[in-house]
Amino acid sequence: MLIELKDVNKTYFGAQPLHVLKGINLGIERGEFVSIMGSSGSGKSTLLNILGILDNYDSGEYRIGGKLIWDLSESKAAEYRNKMIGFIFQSYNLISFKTAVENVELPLFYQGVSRHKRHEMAMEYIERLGLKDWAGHYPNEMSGGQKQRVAISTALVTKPDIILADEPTGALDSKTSVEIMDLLKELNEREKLTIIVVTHESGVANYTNKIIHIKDGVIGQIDENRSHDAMRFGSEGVLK
Amino acid sequence: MYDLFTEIWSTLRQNKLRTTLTGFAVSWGIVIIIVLIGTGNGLMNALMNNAVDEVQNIISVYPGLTSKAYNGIKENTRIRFDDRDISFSEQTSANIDRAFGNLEFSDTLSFGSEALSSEVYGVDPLLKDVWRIRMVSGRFINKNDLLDQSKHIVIDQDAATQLLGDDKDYSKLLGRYINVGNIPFKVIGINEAEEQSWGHSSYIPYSTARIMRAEGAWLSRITLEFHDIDTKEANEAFEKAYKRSLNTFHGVDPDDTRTAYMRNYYLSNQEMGKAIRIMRLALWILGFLTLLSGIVGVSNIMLITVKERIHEFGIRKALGAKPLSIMKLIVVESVVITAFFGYIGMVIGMLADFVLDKTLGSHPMDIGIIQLYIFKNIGVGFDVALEATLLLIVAGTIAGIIPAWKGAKIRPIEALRAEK
Repeated sequence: MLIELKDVNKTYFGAQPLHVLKGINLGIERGEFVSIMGSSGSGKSTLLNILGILDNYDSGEYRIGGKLIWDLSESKAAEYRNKMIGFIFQSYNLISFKTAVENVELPLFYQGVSRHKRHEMAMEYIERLGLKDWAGHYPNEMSGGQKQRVAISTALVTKPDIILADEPTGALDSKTSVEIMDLLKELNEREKLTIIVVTHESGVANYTNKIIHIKDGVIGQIDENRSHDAMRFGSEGVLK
Repeated sequence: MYDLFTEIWSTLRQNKLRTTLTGFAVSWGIVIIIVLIGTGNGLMNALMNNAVDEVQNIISVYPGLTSKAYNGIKENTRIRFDDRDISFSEQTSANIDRAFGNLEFSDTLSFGSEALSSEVYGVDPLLKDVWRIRMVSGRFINKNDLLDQSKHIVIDQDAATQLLGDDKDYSKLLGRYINVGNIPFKVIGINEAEEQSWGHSSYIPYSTARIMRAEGAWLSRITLEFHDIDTKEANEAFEKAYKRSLNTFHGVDPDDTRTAYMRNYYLSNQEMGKAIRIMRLALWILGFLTLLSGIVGVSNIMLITVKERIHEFGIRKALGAKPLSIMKLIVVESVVITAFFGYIGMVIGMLADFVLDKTLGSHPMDIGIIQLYIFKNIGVGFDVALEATLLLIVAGTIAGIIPAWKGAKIRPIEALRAEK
C-alpha cells in the first residue's frame, strides 16, 4: 500500500468549528490512477492538502510508503513534498517571472541539484511533453494547455511517488482538457505513476481507473472504473 | 550563491519602480551621512586648524591688573613680567621643568623698496608646536639660534610675497636678508600665514629680541613647561598655587585672581579633543537616525514585497522550499538593495563633499575685518567609508529580517490560497 489513511480527522476551528474530514479510511496502491470526486464543501480539497503534506490533520494516521506523516516541522514537510509528491494545480501555479524550463528546474533547485544537471533534466521533461520550442518562454506567453504541461513537467521532474492533481482541467477548454487527461492516463499506463486526481467533474473522474466519492467529510462509494463507463459524462471523450 | 543572485536579480527587475524608490531612500540616507560627517570634519578642521595631537604640559601666563589695593599697591596696577619672573617661575614648583619668556613688539620689515609692518615675536623653539606654526619653506627658530643670539627670522608667506613685490614664489626670500627696523635679519623659514590673523607675524630668537629691546623690557608672556600634572583638578590646583606664589612674588594680594591670565594648552587640547569626540559621535548618531528612516523604508517595502509574493512563496514551498531558503531569499534581497544603493549614495556623498570642499572649503568667509574659514578639508576618510558600508550591510539585514520572518512562517496552503 503506497498511501494509507486510517481514521483521519480534520476540524477547522473558526468562529464556528467545522468538522471537514470525519474519519477518512483510504488505501491507494502504487501505480493506481484514481480520482477523488465530490462537490464543493465535501472535504476533497482538505483531503488533497493532507495527502500533499500541505496541511496537517488532527487525529488518525497517514502513511506514505509506510512512513508516518505526523507532526512534521516545516522543513521536514518541505523535504517530503519535494521528494515524494508532484503537484498539478488548476491554476497551474507557475512562477510568472521564470521561463518554462526555469519553472521545471525549481524543485530540483530545492534538492540541491547542480545548475547544469537540473537544466538537463528539466529540458528532458519539457521535450517529452512536447514543449521544446517553448522552454524559454514565460508563462504569460503560453496557452492554458501549454502552461499545464509545464506544470506537469514540474511535477514529474523529481520522479515523485505520487502525482496529486487538483482540478487539473478546471481552467482549460474541453479540447485541451481531453489532451491533458489523455496525457495523465498515458503517464499512468506507461510509467506506472501513481496519480490522484481531485475533481468535481464526472467527465474527468471517468478517465481514472477508480473513483472515490467523498461527501460531507466521509468516503462514500468507491467505483472500479476499468472500462471507463461509471460516469455518464466523458464516455466519448467529451468532458464539458 | 549564483542561483540566489539570479533569483534576486529577476525579482528586482520585475519591480523596477519599487526597487528604484527603495534604493533612493537608502542612497539619500547615505548621502546625508557622508555629507554630514564630511562637513562636520571640515568644521572641526577649521576650528582646530589641525588634528589634535598630544601637547605636553604647557601653560602660558599673561600679566593682568590687580583687582584690589593691597599693601600699598593700588587697584588696577599693571603687573609686569621681566626676566626675574622667569627665574622665579622655574624655582617655584618642582613640577616646572623650564620657564621662558616672550618679547613682542611691532616693527617694520623691509626688503628693497618693499616694506610692511609686522608683529615681531622673540620666541623659544617650543612655541612652534604650542602655536601650531606650520612651515611651508625652510625651518623654524631652533636652540642654536637661541644660544647664538643669531639674527634669524621666520616670516609668513603673505609677508614674503609682499616683500618680493607680489611674487607668489615666496621661497625666493629664503636665505636673503631683510631689515627689521634697520637691523638686517636672515630669512631662515617661511610659515603658513594664519588664516584668521589681523596682520603679519614674524618670529626671531628670544635671546636676540632680548638684546634688541632695552634691559628690563616687559615680557608679553611667560610659558611654563611642567610635568606629572594630568587631571583637570590637578591642573587647576597647580594654576592656583602658581598664581598665589606669583602674587606673593609681586607683593600683591595672594588671592587676587586677576593679576595674571593663564592659558593651559594641555587642558584646552584635552577639552577640544573631548568636544570633537562628542561632536563626531553626535554626527554619527544624526546620520544613523537618517539612515534609520531609510531602513524603515526598505523594511516597509520588503513587507509589501513579501505580501505580494506570498502566492509565489506558496508555490516554492509546495515544490519543496524550506522556510530558511525563503528567508534567505528575502534577507539577501534586502541586503543587495541596501548595499548597492548605499554604495551609490556613498559615491554621491563623497562627490558632494568634494564639491563642498572646493567651494565652501576653499573660499574664506569675509566678515569685514578678517577672513574666516568655516570649513576646511571637507570630506570623510577611507575608514568612515568602510564603516558606512558595514553599517549598510547590517542595516540591510535588519531591514530584511522581519519581512523574511513573515514570509518564511506562512503555511503553504494559506500562501497558495493567497491572491496572485
